[in-house]
Amino acid sequence: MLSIARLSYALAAVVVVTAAHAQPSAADFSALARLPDLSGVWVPDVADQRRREREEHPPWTAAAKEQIDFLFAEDRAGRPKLILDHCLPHGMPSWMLITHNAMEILVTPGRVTMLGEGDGNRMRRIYTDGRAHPDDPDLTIHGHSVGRWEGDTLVVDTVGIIPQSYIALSEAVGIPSNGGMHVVERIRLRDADTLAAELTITAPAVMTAPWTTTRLFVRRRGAQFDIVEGQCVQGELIDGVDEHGNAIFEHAPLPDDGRVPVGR
Amino acid sequence: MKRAIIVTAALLSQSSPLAAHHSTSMYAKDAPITIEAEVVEFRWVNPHSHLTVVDTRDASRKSWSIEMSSPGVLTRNGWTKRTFNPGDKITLKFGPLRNGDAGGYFLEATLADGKVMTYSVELPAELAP
Repeated sequence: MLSIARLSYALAAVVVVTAAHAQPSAADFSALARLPDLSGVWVPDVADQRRREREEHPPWTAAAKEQIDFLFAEDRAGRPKLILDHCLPHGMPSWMLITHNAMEILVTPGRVTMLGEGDGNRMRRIYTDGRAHPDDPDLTIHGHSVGRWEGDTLVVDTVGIIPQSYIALSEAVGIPSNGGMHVVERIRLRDADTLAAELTITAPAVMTAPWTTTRLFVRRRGAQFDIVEGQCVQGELIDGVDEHGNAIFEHAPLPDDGRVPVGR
Repeated sequence: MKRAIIVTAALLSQSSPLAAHHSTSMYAKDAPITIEAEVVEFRWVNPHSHLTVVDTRDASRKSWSIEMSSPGVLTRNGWTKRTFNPGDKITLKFGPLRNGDAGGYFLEATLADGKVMTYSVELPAELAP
């Protein structure tokens, strides 16, 4: 029975890989039914993240390890370095490694789209239409991702990530890739409602060897689990009214205004 | 522009509780404070919702700014934007800022009707894989 399922996934993979940028056909849409069902809301297993933070040690370079050890000590001492203290998306690979927020995964012809929650523009476009990476990609926070289905596993290859993008072990411990990072993910359903994303991260500026680690996401359905719009920058602003009576945003009061700013 | 720069500087301050997604180790959650409080404001915003209260047993009605997780995480724990309303009387337990400022991280609140509000970013044991 399993082999039949795998065979149909393999067939679907063949059909779903249409020509890059081509208009999808009715057959392409039909073929999606033979791929694994990734619908619903995927909630990260944060307890597992924290266990791995304690137990897994990436092959840092000596210089990087010195910084990481310092950051762990600072966090333990109650002086965390706020490595994500801005409203940019976590980016790759930190989104997959340390997020506390849920995501959705949309599978459409030639494309898998991950939609996150928490920073205004947390989204990954993974092209499964057979295209290659650009020769000289613009560097972005999420990088350029191409994917393919190997049986029931989505294999995603990501390059073109900005050097500032953290390899984060927690919200207080991590180090920027400093450029040249390559991430390969093998994403599959481990059981009916558990998604396992195995990441292999190559970051030659800060690691001496590729680092492979896995993160788990648990599927939930129902209104309580729906994704909530998360515009991070909204937290820096407060509701105000302009001279015409229009509802507007204003900057939150500053500490020297005599009250503690709210909303962040 | 000057104001924008000042805001940015304030947001980047490493001891500040303002920053976006962040560790909470600057809060002494291992040495919590419990107060009888009146809700002044509940901001249901990302990346961190925020509760402003006054300590009703304090002679000066000391004000506290209490931070918590995002609306997405809180919704999954059964909260709504109306969980706290201005004027609500609550018993509030929080981890205070280690630097002595009047801020804290939410741990638990008992509402007037006795309902206890809490949350976790970790999956309940029965839901964990």
